[in-house]
Amino acid sequence: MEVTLIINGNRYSVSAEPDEMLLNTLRKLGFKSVKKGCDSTSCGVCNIHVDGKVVPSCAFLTVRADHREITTLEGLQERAKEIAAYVTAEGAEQCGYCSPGNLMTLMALFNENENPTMEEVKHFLAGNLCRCSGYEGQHRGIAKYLEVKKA
Amino acid sequence: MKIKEYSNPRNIKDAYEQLISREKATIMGGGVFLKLQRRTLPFVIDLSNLGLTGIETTPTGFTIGAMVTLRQIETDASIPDGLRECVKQIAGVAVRNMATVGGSVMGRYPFSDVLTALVALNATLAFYKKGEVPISEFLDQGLEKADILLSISVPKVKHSFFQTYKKVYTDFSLVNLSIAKADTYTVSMGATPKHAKAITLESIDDVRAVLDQFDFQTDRRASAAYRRALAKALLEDAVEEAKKWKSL
Amino acid sequence: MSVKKSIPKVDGMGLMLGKPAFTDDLAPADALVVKVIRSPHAHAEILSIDASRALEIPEIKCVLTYENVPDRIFSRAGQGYPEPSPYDARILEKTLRYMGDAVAIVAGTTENMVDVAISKIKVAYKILPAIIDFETALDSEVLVHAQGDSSSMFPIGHDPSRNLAAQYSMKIGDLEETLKSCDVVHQATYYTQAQAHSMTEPHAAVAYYDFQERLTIISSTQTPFHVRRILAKNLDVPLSTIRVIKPRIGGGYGGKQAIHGEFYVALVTQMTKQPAKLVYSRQEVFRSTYTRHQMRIDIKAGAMKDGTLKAIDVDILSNTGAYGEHALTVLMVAGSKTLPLYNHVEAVAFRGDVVYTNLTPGGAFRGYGAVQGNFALESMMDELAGKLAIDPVEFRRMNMIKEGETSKIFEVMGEGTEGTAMIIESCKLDECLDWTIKNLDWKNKYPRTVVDENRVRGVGFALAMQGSGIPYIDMASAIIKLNDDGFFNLLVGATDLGTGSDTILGQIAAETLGVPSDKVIVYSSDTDLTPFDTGAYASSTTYVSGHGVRIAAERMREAIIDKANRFFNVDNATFDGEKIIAGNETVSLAQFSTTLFYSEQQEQLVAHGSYVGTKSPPPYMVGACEVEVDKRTGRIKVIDYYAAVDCGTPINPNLVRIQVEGGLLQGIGMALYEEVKVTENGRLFNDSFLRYKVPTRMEVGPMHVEIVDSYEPSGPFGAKSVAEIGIDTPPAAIANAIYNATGVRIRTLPITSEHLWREMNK
Repeated sequence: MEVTLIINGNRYSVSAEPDEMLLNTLRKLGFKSVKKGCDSTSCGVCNIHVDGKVVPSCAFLTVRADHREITTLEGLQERAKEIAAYVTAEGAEQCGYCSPGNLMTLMALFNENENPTMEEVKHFLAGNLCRCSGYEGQHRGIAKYLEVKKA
Repeated sequence: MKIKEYSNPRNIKDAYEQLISREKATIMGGGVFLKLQRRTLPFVIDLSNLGLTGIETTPTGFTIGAMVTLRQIETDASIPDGLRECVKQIAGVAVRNMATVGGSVMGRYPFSDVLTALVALNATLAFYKKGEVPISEFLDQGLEKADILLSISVPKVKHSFFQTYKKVYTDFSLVNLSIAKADTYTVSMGATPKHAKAITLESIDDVRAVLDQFDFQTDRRASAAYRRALAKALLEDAVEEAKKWKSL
Repeated sequence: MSVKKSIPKVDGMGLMLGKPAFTDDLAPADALVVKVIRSPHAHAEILSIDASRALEIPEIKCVLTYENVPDRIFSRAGQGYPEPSPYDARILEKTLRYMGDAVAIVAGTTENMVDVAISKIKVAYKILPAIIDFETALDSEVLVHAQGDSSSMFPIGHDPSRNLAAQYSMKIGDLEETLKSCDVVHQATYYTQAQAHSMTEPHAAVAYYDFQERLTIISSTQTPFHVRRILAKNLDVPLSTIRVIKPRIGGGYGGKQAIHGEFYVALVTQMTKQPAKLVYSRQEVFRSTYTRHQMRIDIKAGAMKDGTLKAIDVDILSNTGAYGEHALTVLMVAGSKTLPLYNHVEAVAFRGDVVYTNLTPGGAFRGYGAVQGNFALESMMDELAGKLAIDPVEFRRMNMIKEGETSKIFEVMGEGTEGTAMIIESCKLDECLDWTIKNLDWKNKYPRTVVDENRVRGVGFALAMQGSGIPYIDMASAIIKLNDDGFFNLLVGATDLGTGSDTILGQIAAETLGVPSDKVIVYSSDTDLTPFDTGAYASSTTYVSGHGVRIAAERMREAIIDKANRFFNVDNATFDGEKIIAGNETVSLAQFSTTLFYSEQQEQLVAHGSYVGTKSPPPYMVGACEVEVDKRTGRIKVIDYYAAVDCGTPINPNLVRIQVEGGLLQGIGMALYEEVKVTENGRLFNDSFLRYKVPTRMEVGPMHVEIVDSYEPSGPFGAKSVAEIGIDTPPAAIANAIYNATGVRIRTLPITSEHLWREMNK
């Protein structure tokens, strides 16, 4: 099927199978920040924004995204860098495979709530798995980011 | 999951026509659980362009569109506590942004947290053709004919409560419990591991008597006896919570 | 100073911003999609495979079966050579030994058509009886390797006619007599489960011929040089025709030490001359890679009334599944990296059988036997202390190893071979114990505190040790070259799995050279461009590879000074990291190096270093926790976890901390939540993250990590290792805490709330 996708503000015309997921379409188009992790919407590494909402791209049909606004981490580099610096300062990105999904989820939270508590952050990120870091370092980084931003 | 053909109708009438005319047509709500199916779907009807995404307050309660996402429910302060609480531990926010309340209902998943809450609230389902069906009836009997869920009506209650036992956050419930109080108490339990069932009581203080009304069974995830113990603990917590309602 | 400094990981920002860096990100756009048909039976023989209808599809470029791939038997373990794992696996084979074993490989231009092709391939199976319960495997009538053509490179007790992948036994002192002389002897049996690594990046491999027709493999592997060796040998091509590149990889924890899809993509590319890529599905990662070896551990221990521990006897049954990857060595580490904790005993014995079953193979996994052994041993130490009515903290203090001491076990037990005698030159177990016990508030909290009528809290702890590489086996090397403008390239074979080893190796080079760490650009893990390294396993990179880097950097310093002496014709040139001072001349390194490139006395300065350890100094840890148990449900919540680690000098304290925290959470997962569950017919029940639950960020309370002051004289800048040890303490510490909270001793992992509830209600 022919689909028009608006990815990070640019229009793409693509031909997609009816069961093709955005994860595959986006990776084929070169948006490699979108990672394949679990195939079952349970890990968060493929999270992107569609119409401003964070969703798992492994479950979002490309044909369903026709004419909708898709944002990947490639489209939010500057904003992401600002937050990421606090996580890398802790060494908590480790293998980094879950990081793009984490950041996309985190930025979706900040869009809703500029000053979340750490409890709200954890709850919002609960569906984003990280197997390397034990999460604590990520939380230290995010907490510092929020502190600095508030000040 | 494989999809042979995909349709994205613009109005409910077209959607329904396709549903009854196409062989083995499948309705797609949020699409999350559909994605997890290991089967080929010859014809998928996507409901995402039909609206059905509103939450409305009515004189007697609320009407929730079938395509309202779990995340919408979570973040809408007007929704009763029991229903809002129940979605919080379902997968992650990203999934809750896709998964719909209609999908939860139509899947009739026995482990569903949403169904347990809706059953306690005595929700009524509105179908395009069949019209209104009480949720318990739907869970017990299903539908005799293919139909499209449009919305879910939830009557006003004074208080409601939801609690679940999960091994880890975001997991499936081993057992879940919801209580709604209008004039009487409606107690519902799901993941027993059968689907949610409700009873109505004047008082919930006698925990043992409440428990005896439910049937717990063993599956790979938990034994019947353990489920009963979990349910007992959830009920005890609920009774404590309900004491606060009385003092309000 | 570049070491003992928490600089960010050199690759961190790029990874966080999602830059293409992983295997699948780097695959050529026209790579054929490769998929594997997996055995639907736990044990079966292929009677026939008919791929003719699949091959009629124009998009399908090749189908591999046991009939058209090289018939070589080897070990996929990804270890040094000769391997201590049995040669019992083939690229593809007629016999299928577990549900998930590879039946055939299909390659085509689109994923959809490959899926269609798979549905058109008809395989006829003869189903064979299978062994699912590992306790029935030894001497069973059903043989997992009935062909009897498996073998070992050296004696490892391999006997396929008994379903025995490997066997080991050793004895020090007179065990029977010593046990007889003890006031108290206690015996118990512990079970540890198969655990799934659950790295977020699925295993992936890419192959293509470069413009010179060299077979290039990009792989999410922990052992690129072993991959090259094993591939070349079994594809029967010269080693020189293969290049293996390890890009960034999304977690390994041992699960990417072994060979996975590399053979399949290599063969597809060989046959089709087209690039090929294989990315495992999550179900394949669960079913068809590796798990932690499941074990039954019997321990008998004896002590005197005064608390003197005198004898320990350990007998293990380990389940290696369908193939014997790491069978012997994981078994041995269960003893060799736990028993030396109690080095004062008069007698110690250790034996074990590693059996084949028709299940997903066991493989390397962080902790590597030590975590299994630790659960049993450290539970037993608490149990024994209880029998003696001695505080478990005091009992440990009386019996644990101390700096300056040794253990006979170091000499007797190695990894697959004899060990290496060593004196422990750094051991701060006492300080680790002091710190954790004090911060946990053991004095006031032991054994339990009551929260309310339903909830009770208990405290528990465990000691742990690991190793730092494998002495006389693990070799690592580095090359440093000086560039114009005065910066360096550091080329290392070492394999960064995301741990930050590129960064810390750069720090070691910078420290040795005396230059800021941003003057060292690190490139790693490419068999064409970087020197050899055995790979990222056995907690070896900081200690072994770090030494290789240090040596190379020292030589580079010498080379700079030597060149300066010759250049300026002096004999006392110095280099302070920025400037070279030679007689009256002062020149910056930037200027000097540029001169050496373009102007005068031109020369490329290069230095190399390589290192093989002669010992494996153990890092030590004490992990202690407070847990809360809801008596009504058995729900267990880890309230706080305190861990003090002696890893020698922390080259990068932040990365040490994260290694410990990450290890702790995997250990907590192992203790409470995770288990690869199998149905009666051998199917993995929980082969997705929907059903296999790793801890989320909501599961545990804060983890408090202390890096105690320690210096290992044999290590680079005093460093030991920290990669594995974090995982070791939680199972026993949590089991001990639960016992202290409830009086119930659980000896089976994971400790589920239902199990605890059942025991509490007995």
